[in-house]
Amino acid sequence: MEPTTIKVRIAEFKVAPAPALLKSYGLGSCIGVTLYDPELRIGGLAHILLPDWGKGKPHEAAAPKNPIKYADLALEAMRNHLLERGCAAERLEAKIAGGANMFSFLFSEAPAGAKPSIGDRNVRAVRDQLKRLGIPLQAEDVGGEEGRTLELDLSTGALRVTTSRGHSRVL
Amino acid sequence: MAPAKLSIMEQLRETHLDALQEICNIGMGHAATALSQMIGQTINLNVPKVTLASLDQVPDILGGAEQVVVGIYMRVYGDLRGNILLIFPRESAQSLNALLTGQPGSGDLILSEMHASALKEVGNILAGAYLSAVGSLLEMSLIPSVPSLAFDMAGAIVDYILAELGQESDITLVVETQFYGRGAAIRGHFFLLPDPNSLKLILEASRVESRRG
Repeated sequence: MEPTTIKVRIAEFKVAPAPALLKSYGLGSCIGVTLYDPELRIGGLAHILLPDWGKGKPHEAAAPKNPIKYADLALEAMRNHLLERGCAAERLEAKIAGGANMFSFLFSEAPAGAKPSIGDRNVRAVRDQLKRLGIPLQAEDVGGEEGRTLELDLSTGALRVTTSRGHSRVL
Repeated sequence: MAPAKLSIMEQLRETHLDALQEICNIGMGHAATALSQMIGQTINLNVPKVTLASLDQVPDILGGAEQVVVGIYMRVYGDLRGNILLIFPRESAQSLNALLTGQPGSGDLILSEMHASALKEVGNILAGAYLSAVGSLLEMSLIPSVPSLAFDMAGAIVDYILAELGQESDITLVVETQFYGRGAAIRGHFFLLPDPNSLKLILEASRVESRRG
């Protein structure tokens, strides 16, 4: 029987047990993060739009309407969700893919010291957040100028990354 | 509990959308004329639809996040700030290219330098005509940046712009229109995504305009 495919939209995360597939289509500057517990074979995929909510805001600022847009809030929420389902924090493994710069032409001429592209900022934010949460980053496929489609196979924890040109690799 | 402060997007009403629709209608009319003259063929367009869409719906409007499309992106500078994004489905981009350069596209996923440059020129002309019409209506000076082109999945093309806008709001203003050529159908989506502060200015200016009218 074909495993169920669960679609993960922009600014959203989904968690499921094996043998389901979690799939996110067409990530450009967005970044996808998977967290996986190989023993329970439960994992999640988050499709993140923006680097940080917390940075530069007063602590008491009202929470955003959709926290899953932001790397810091999304990763914390997804990890907590996995822990609630019985995953052990020390078993979780992370993989990330995305953070491309689709319109490189616009930014290649940016003066030195200009702020990095949103894709680069997303990659950096996700790495920092994983470090903060103590989750090891196992593999990554980030940057470049091509969109990516991601598919997490919950039976194995393998993350398949496909581009519009048909290139495909498994992390 | 104090009510949450509404963002400018949430304060938009039907009447605002009507005013924007009228402005966009005129602007797109000019743009279609400019494109007709460029390719020597009549281009018709349907009445632009101005809608508010939540950010995650935008890829669906384009036929799904994985649909491969050509995206031409320009920043808007001058009295208003915003983004213009033109999206052509793959087949329409190829029809346009055949008309413009006399050379059919190869059909694979790489655009030749000449084809990419021809499509960017289309972006330039459409955006220039559109912005100058809207600008003269609102008495504002609006200038498009150099166009930038991507040939990739729709989701990947729009998410950069969604990220720019998403820092302020979860919904965005979308001006959607389609072009039709004779014979080869050329469909395109035109997205005008004003920065939140600029949207306020457009609404104020359009109110003045409608009172005068």
